[in-house]
Amino acid sequence: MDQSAFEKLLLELDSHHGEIRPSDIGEFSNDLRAWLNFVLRLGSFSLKDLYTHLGLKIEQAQALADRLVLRNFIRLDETSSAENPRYETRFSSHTRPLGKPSTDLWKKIE
Amino acid sequence: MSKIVSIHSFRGGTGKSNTTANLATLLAMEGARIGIVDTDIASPGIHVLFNLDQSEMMHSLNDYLWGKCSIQETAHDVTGQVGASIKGQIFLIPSSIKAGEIARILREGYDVGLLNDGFRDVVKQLRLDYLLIDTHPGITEETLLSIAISDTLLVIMRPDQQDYQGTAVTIDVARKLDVPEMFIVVNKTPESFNRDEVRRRVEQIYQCKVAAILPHSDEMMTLASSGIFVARYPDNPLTQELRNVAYLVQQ
Repeated sequence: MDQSAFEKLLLELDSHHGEIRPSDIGEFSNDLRAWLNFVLRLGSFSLKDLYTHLGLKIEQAQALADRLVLRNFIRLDETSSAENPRYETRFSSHTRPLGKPSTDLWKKIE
Repeated sequence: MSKIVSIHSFRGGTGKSNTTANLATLLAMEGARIGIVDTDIASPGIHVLFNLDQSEMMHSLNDYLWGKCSIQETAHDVTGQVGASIKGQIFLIPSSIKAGEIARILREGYDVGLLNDGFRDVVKQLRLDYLLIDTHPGITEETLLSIAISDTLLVIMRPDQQDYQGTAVTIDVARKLDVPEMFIVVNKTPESFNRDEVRRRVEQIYQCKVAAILPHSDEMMTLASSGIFVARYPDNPLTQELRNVAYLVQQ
């Protein structure tokens, strides 16, 4: 992928703070959204899978993977090694907990 | 290769759980191994169709999300509950129906990523051909996750103005999530409606294939979730329509 286009997408990813929630996906640009949807559906994959399928250079794939790990979108697989990094999709985020009503309704229900 | 199928509707009461249970049964009748996950944590119900009593639920999806057990431990083999000859197997992962446990998960929230891990684990561990996700209506983080990881999305709607609008939202979201395959199922269609016309209009509005136009059925109403319709009424026209849905999902 052209380096300037790649950096533009990384910049967009960097401008997103915190974990990537399912509801965030729809807000990204078409290109970034297509990447994330694709990675999500891969489920389990190697760095080689990532650069092959997304048409990236190996350094670009590594930079993308590092950022997605930081945002808990993917994580290193337990079979991963330095020579052959492997990842699995995570999509970690917490549902929004409901607030505690002033009358402590939850306690009564529990 | 296993397939993840989400059954979703924007509004409640469209017949998601019934469609899911019947689809699971039809696929299992042909020898497939099926997992069903009830992700409608706030208002679970599909266990009723499989006659799974609270006392028989050793573990629920809630227990898995709280780290009390593995996802496999929450899977209940309900094949014998269907009341028909099943060549395959059906496993149901129910959500808890204890008021306190529903309240706790709503109050505390949970890690949606665990659902993703659980879906993948259970497909692998139980060697499933299909994982059917019975979702919570509307758009939440959980339903978005289910849609995002699905190979196939079935959107259930009724021929009702409120459903028409909500379905447009669901389809728009699913397109943004690049769902590879999507079908609409129009349910509870009154006998007086011209079904070909309904199909034509729905396909035109949403630019999405309609898998079936399911007629309103008095037999279904009378069954009142006390069993699986396709097993009780194998020759009913509704069963034939549901077979069409199963066929499309299998392709």
